[in-house]
Formats: sequence, C-alpha cells, structure tokens
Amino acid sequence: MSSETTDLNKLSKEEQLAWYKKELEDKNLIIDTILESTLAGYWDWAIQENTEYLSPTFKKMFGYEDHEMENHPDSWQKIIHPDDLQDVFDCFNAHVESQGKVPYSNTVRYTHKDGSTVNVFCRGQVVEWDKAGKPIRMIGAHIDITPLKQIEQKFALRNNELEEFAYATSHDLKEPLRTISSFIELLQQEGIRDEQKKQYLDIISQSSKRMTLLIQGLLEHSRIGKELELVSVNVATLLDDLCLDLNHSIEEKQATIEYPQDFVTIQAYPTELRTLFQNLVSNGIKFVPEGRNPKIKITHEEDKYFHIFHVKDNGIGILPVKHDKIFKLFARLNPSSEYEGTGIGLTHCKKIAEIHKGSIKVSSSSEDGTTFSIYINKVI
Amino acid sequence: MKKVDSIMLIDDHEPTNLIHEMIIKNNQFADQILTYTDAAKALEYLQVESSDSSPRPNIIFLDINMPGMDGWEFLKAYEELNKENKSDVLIMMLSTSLHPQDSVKAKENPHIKTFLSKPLTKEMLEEIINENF
Repeated sequence: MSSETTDLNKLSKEEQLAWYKKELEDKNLIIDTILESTLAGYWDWAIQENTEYLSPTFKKMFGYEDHEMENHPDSWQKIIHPDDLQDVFDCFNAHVESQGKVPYSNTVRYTHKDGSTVNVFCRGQVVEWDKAGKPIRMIGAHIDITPLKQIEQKFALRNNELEEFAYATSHDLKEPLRTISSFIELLQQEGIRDEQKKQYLDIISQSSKRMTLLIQGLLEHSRIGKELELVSVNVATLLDDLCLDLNHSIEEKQATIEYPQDFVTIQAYPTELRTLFQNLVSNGIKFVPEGRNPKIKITHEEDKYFHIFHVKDNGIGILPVKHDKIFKLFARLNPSSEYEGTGIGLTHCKKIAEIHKGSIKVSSSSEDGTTFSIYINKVI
Repeated sequence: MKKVDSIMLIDDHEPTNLIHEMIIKNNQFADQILTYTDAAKALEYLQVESSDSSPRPNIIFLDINMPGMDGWEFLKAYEELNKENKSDVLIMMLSTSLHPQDSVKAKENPHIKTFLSKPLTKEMLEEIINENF
C-alpha cells in the first residue's frame, strides 16, 4: 500500500490533501467491489436521531432501486416478515444491555418486491456509545442466504422421504413375517384338523411369496438411477416393444393401447423410461371394472422445458384425496383380494420421472378413468 | 374369565383377522365377532342404529394402513357418529412403530384408547377386558 512508502511530511498541504482523497477513493472502491461481488448490503443507523443509511446493495437484495427506498428504519421494518421483527428487537436489546458483549446476529425473512421470500443473515455492532452508555451508532451487514435455505429445505424434504421409506419398508416387510410366525405357532398346536393345516400352510406360502415380491420390488427401486445411460429414445419403438411384452395380458383382457406411430424421439434413460410406461400401461390394464375392456391412450405435448406424456386409461379411477398417497412406497388403494399388487409401481414411476429432472402427477381422474402426466426434462 | 358381547375387527389382511378371531374364540372373550376387511363397510355397520340384530361392538380393533378407507379416514368419520353408535373402546393396531407424523396425530385423538402391536395375544385381550369392563 502506498501509505507505507509515502512520507507525508515531505509533501505540501495540497499534495497531502490529494493523497488523502485518492486513498479514500481507493478504500471506497474496495468496499464497493466487495459489496457488489458478495451482494452484501450494509446499514448505518444513527440511533438517537433514528435515521438509517441503507446501501444500494441492501435495497437491491429486496428488488428496490436506491431511490425507491427511503433511508429510514421504517423501510426495512415494513418488508421484514412480521414474525421475525420481534426477534430483531430482542436481539438488539440483548446486544445493547450487554454493552455489546452479546453479538447482534440473526437470520430473518424479508419479502422481496416480487413477493418472494429473501432469507437474510444479519450481523451488526454498536460502534459508538454516549457517556451514559446509550448506543449512538450501529453498523451492520446483510447477506442473502436464500440459496442456502433452499438447499436446506431440499435436504429436509429428502430426509422426510428417507424416513417414510424406512417406515414403509419396516412396516410392510414385517407384515408377511409376522403372519408366517403366527401361523407356524398355530400349526404347532395339538389336535388341528387336516383342512386347517392345509389352510395355514397356504397362508404361510402366500406370505413368503409376498415377502419375496416386496424385497424384489425394493431391490428394483434402489437400482433405479444406477448405471444410467442417456440416449435418443424413439418412444413409438419403445411402446411397440412394451406391447409385445405385455401381449399376454393385452389379449386376455382385450385391451387396446393407442399412440401415434410417428411418436417423438427424446433424450432419456431407455430402461427406466420403459419401466415407467410399463407400470402405467399395466396399471391401466389391471385396474378396470369387471367387464370393461381396457383402453389406454398415450399422447405427447411439449413446452419450453419439458416433454409431457399423458397416459389416459378407462379404469376404476383414483379418488382425489388419494392422489398424493399413490406415489408412496407400498401404498395400495384396493384390497388385494380384488386387485393384486405390491404398491411399488408408481413409486418407481415417481423416481424415474425425477431422475429425468421432471415429475409425475395425476392430472385427472374419475370413474371413467385416470390420466397420468409425465414431465421429462429436455435438458438432463 | 370375563367376556364381552361383541368385538369388531377391522383389518384388510385376512390372515391377521383369522388369527385374531381364533384367539377370541378359543378363549371365549366375546359372544360375537364382527370382522371387516373394508373399513367403509365397518362404518356402514356402525351408522345403522343399534338393535338386537346389529349390536354395538364393545371393542373395536382398528388397523391403520389399509387400502381404500384407511384407519385415519375411518376415525374421522367415526368422530361424527352419535355416541350411542360408537363402541366403548377403540384400539389402534400397529404392525410396526408409528410413523413420527402419525404419532402426534394419534396422541391428540381422544377416541384412541391405546395402541397395540399386532398380533393380538390372549394376555392383551385379558388386560383390555379386565381394565374396561
């Protein structure tokens, strides 16, 4: 720095003044650059006059130009989340009462001009006190931590999903096991009739088959997303193959599967995409009322970001209250006596849509059928 | 041994119902067992006024995870019933520990007497009947 090498005493008054001016400009440049590049804002509060300088970056964080926001404490108090304002006051009081020993530091929410929430980490300090020990001036900085908060929320969501996964797994895997051990106990009793014995053994055998299916389903689910290979997939060819595989159940139920022969070609993970369509088409074939021939129609549209496929069936429909539930692990809406299944198919579909950076939802459902919409991101 | 008039079992899993029925029958805990694999049908039964041909169950054992109407949905509808249509005791049956979210929900529900892990045993039934009747 020039201050270490310049001997100010050798300079004239004017030269000294020019030097100080340049030094000041230099410091301002550094501060401005830091504020611009970190997008940090700062505030400078004259407590006893109750005026407050708010830096342009402070205002920009909330979507305001410098002239759009008055330099006054009211300006930020108007846009801070009402639930957080009291915390700010409490924090300030603790800082002042401890004569600055308790740091002034908090995380609060503000409302951006566009209505969105801005999460702010705010840290400040009283820099001047009067003789009576009352604060005169306080300076502080604002840092926008919204992206961090968003990641935090995403983690919380994932955590929740994992918890649900663990719960469903323990719950549903335990059921067949419990049944098996209960019936073995019954078999061990003395004097049971042969027909009872047969019934119990049948139940044990069914339960162990079910257990196998559940574990198989779980393994398949955990494999989704491993060893992914992104290629061009001709969706018509994929569906042709799929129909060939499902030929047996299509003929048995006299089902029709309809899709345009000039269907799109998209970038996707072929094995996974096929599993997704397979689950939806099989569901469409399976969940029809007695006596109705399954009709499944697959269409495509696109917007700027997504390829959107609609799979419409004429099945039994899904009640609106169940629309969220159906994608959960092992969730079944129908008694196994009427419709078989482990309840993992749509959970697969959800995960597959997600690895394509998209989503799946029930877009409509009634007693005449259900339409699922699948969003596949154009950029994966 | 003490016994009650009627016990209602609501569980979509038929083998579980079978086991529970056998324990009740073998130990003569109740004169009548009403078994439902569909909670909506059980609710329909309760909505009809009590009569000799449709007595109120003294105890209901309710499964939570069921396709169609689940245990929670059943409880919501059950709360709407008149007092005389309800049973004396309602017990939730679990096949594993309660989901953390559900745990809060369950503790707040005044209709749930207690939770028990499946399957029901002779000892559990003895205790319930001795405590409540």
